[in-house]
Amino acid sequence: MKVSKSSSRALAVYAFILGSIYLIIGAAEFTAGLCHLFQPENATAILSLPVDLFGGFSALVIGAAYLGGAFLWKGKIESLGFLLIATILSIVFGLLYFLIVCAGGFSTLIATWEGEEWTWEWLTSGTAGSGILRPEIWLALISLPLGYSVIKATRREKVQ
Amino acid sequence: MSEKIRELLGEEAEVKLAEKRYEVISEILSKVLKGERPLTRSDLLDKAFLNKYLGIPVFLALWWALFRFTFDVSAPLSDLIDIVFGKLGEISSTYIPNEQLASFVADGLIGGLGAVLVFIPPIFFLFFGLSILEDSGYLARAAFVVDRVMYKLGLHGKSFIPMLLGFGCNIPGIMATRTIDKEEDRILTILVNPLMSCSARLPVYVFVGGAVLGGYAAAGVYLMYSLGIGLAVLMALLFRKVIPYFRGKPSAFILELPMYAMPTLRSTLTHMWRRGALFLKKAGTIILLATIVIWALSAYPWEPVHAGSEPRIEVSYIGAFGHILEPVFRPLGFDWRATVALFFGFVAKEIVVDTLGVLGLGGAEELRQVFTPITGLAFMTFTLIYTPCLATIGIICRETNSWKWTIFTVIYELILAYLVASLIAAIGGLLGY
Repeated sequence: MKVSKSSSRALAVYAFILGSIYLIIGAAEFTAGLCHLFQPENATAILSLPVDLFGGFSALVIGAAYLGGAFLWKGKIESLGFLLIATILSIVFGLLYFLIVCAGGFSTLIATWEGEEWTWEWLTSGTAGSGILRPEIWLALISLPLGYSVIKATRREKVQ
Repeated sequence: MSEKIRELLGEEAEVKLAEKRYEVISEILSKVLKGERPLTRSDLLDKAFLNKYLGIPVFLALWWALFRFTFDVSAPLSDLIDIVFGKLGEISSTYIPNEQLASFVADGLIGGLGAVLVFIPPIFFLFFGLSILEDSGYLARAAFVVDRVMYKLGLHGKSFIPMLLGFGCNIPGIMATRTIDKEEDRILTILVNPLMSCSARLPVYVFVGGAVLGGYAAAGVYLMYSLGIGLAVLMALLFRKVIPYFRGKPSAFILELPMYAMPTLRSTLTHMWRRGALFLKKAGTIILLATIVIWALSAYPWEPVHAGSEPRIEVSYIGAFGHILEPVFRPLGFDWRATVALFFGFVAKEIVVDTLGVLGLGGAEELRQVFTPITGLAFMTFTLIYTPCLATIGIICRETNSWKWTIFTVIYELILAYLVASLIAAIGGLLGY
């Protein structure tokens, strides 16, 4: 399997940047989640990111997978597998958090049928307090071009 | 016979056969294919999914996504069913003039059955997610990844599939152990299979966790499933070390990995429906019957309620029974109603929620008066570990062909459930929760 040197380097840089962002976000969410578990009163969000232990762990895993894909810089074709998985996980979690926000909206709608007042809180407070602003939702969108490039690269190879 | 073959060959006959088969395949391929074999997308995915370091974290992350999907995304649909049953209860109390009949319909049928039926969405969502993982070909990889750990801890790799099936229902999980050739490995897998959290236990986690764990409800559910896997592996390791019958290494695991595939909506929905329909069937039969029995035990002897008199439920048959059992579970922080719910859970785990509903603990507010976050977690843990339902006990007896192993399973799980729940209550107390 061959990917041109310039393409593989571009993909590696893209993966490295995304991986680093995921690692920073994951570390912040995980640490805050851990603090919240043991000291709920003193725990605060780091960098205004959600306090989410397992969500942070998942972001760390995505980050690690992206960084595994960064070895494409050295021409390691196997790294494309890491990029594929990182993109799949990124999309799974982005979609999941988006669905959670939508479910929050639906819950608010049901509550209005029961006589409660309609609020927009669900849009900003779901998914561990960040709502639609949860970074993983937007990072999933940013990872789409990378996923597309990897799929294209692997598809092209299969035809050859 | 198999021992002799193993001695002669120096390894399992199955492994030897597989090695030879792949040797022949390689020989043929080298003759007909020129140049290097191109990497396919499946190969690339396997490089990462089966990676020594990343394989298990990816599995845990996907598992977490599945539980958040199950718990958080299905929540509004459960709310909707809850509202419908609430309205039905109000209507029946208002329009049925006979007090006993109104109580039977509102508190018994609608309160009890409604408390269970609100869990249709999370159960179907769980099966939807599991079907996607299965149809995509990932679950077989998960078995492969987990086998590395399981083999080191003394469980046969083939145990993973029965254990995975146990997440749906322990009965097919136990029956699937027939694929394990070595009798000792098979019985060991059967003994620990009930620790895998079946879908009947999910309503208890969602119900109690949702009420008392607040923002950590999904984490609580995730913890229960992870704890089930962890305990199954630990108990297998312990049994292998302590019980002479299980001593020795498990036999080797050979798994042919299917190609990855894009799951289709139709097949995913079909799988989801097949598995979820079992829950609906159970709700219409065993759970309905149990609801009627529990309501009758909680309503009789029928005493008119006056101002200042004790609530009817306290003086009912079930109340008297619960107060007798309560001292045993008091150290774990469970009151008599929670104790009675666990007792009826022997029949089927969904009945735990059903009983809580009939006994007046059908709402989050009522549950918070009985459980703290820690005692709620201890209750969830006890539900996870203690004796499986009657049907599972029957299957264990049939598949092990031994009353000894069946009774052993019932007793060890009861003791383990009590110990782990006590530990959670004690540690939670020390941490000041």
